[in-house]
Amino acid sequence: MAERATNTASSVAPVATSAIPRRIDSQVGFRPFLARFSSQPLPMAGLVIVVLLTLVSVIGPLLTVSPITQDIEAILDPPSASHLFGTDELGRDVFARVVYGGRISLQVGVVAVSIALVIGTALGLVAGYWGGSWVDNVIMRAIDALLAFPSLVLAIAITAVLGPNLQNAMLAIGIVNIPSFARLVRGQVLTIRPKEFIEAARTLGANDARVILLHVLPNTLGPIVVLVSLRLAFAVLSEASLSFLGLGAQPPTATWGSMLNAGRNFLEREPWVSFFPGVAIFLTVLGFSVIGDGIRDTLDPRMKAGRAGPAE
Amino acid sequence: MGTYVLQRLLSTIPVLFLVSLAVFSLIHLTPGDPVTIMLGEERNPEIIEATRRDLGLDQPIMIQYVAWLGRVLQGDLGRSIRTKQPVADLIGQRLPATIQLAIFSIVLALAIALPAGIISAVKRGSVLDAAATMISLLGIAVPSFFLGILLIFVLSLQLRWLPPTGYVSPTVDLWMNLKLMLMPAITLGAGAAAVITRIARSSLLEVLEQEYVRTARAKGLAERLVVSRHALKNALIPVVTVTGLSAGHLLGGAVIVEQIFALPGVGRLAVENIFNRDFPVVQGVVLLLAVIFLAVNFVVDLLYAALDPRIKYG
Repeated sequence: MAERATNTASSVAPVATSAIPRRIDSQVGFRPFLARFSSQPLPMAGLVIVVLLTLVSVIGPLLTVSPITQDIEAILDPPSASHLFGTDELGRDVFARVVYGGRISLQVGVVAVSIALVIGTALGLVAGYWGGSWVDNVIMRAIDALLAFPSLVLAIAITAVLGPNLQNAMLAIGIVNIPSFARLVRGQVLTIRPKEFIEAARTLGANDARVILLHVLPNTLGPIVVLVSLRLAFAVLSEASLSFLGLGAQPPTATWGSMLNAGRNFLEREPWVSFFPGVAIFLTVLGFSVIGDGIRDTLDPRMKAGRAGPAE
Repeated sequence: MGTYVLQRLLSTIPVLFLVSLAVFSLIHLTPGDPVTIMLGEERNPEIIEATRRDLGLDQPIMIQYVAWLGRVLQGDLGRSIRTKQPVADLIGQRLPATIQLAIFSIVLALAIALPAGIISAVKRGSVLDAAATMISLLGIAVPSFFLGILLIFVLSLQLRWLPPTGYVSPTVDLWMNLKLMLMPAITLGAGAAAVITRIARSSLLEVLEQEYVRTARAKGLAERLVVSRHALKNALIPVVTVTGLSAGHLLGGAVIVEQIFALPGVGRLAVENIFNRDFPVVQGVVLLLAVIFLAVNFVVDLLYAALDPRIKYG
């Protein structure tokens, strides 16, 4: 715990009111973090969006009709009391489909980012810990090769090869996200590796696995959390892109991207069919990215200047 | 600088090798037999065997790779299974639309983002700054397909200012071509514009804090000149990098945008042929996009080195 303090406490004004804090942790622990995070309006708005989305996804089936029930009496009906977001060309309830689409988006986001997080972090830890060795070289060249493709093109290529369905979309988006975790973690490890406490742990007889897992990994957690949030935004966007192209979950499964694509045909007279799923994607992506920005600004206020990531 | 170019070029070779290996493997990673998948309903064993031979899939895998790489290096990307046309020709027909779209988008993005970023940095904390920051946040989060659909809805279907979708070659009707390309370019460029605005703002703000800028102010130079003559040059270095990186990422976004606006680009070619199971075409497009992407990143690195003499390489 004390080691983590060296990472997050830098240049952060103490929140505690007492002159002498009882524990170092009272300045850098979870509660002061929460206090600083919640003082920022935009990330809090993002948090509200994401919490709402998660809630609706979990209890959604209790709220709505089935997303594939067709009502031939109500084809392309505008939004009304009985169909909150209107109905689509097959008489299906757009609200129900947005809710169920959200479940898919969230599921893909979580699974894909977990794949990337686990594999990317493991690769980054190994590459960084043995930085400069042949292992590092092999790993980083493989990562370079993954980065040589525009990310969406790579995701499309993978789903194209494995066959378009939900599982493969998750896998593809997961693979595409590995490099960002691997690079981030490797960089972090390279700065932590020469520190004295690592040497101390080794002197005390800790083996490599123990040093990596108990001493190096905890010190990389802050930036990883930020990246998880930003990558969730990207994963949701990627899933929507793939299903927009027809490469995600297949019909009749409701996904935001496929709804948006189908709704294009009715844009002129029945814009609600594509409008609602579009807004849903937009808000979800926005939510995850502002949360990520917020956590980063909270952990390191010096970084506040603005994110310099590539548009993806 | 010369050594740096050479080093950077050499370091690209292993990556290119891995990329070629990955693209080559695409066809072999397919679960099941690629030939039967590609041929679909075809059950005639002779035709299946003939296709297998044509694709070289009856050879040992290493031989296949070497032969494939040899052909690719000579510009032969194989033939489409469906139309039997050379893949290189198919790509050649579709490339102009994609390139025009990408260039148009990045030019548009810069035309919006540079002034926006500079104004927001110079007038930090003003309403303009807040507006630019807000809009760029939205620009990063809005998915291109949603933005594209909104643009079609508002500009074409409601206001009837622009034709909704389609493509006309600039050599046939330049004016129509530009009208048709405007919405796709806005759609594709929005994300890049947002990112460039942010980086231009933060980079200029950082430079404006520096000592030499204070010196320029202290000697009585007008603020306008301080910004334009002194601060901007250094502030633009990261902007160049980010613009280049965004330009590379536009290639991925182009696949979606071509689909929305029915543009005959390489991205759409790839997507169509995923559904046709025409793997050589998909392979060709993916390889091409990766190579262009690498080339763009290469140029960005060189530009960066040329612009910033403080950076040492070696």
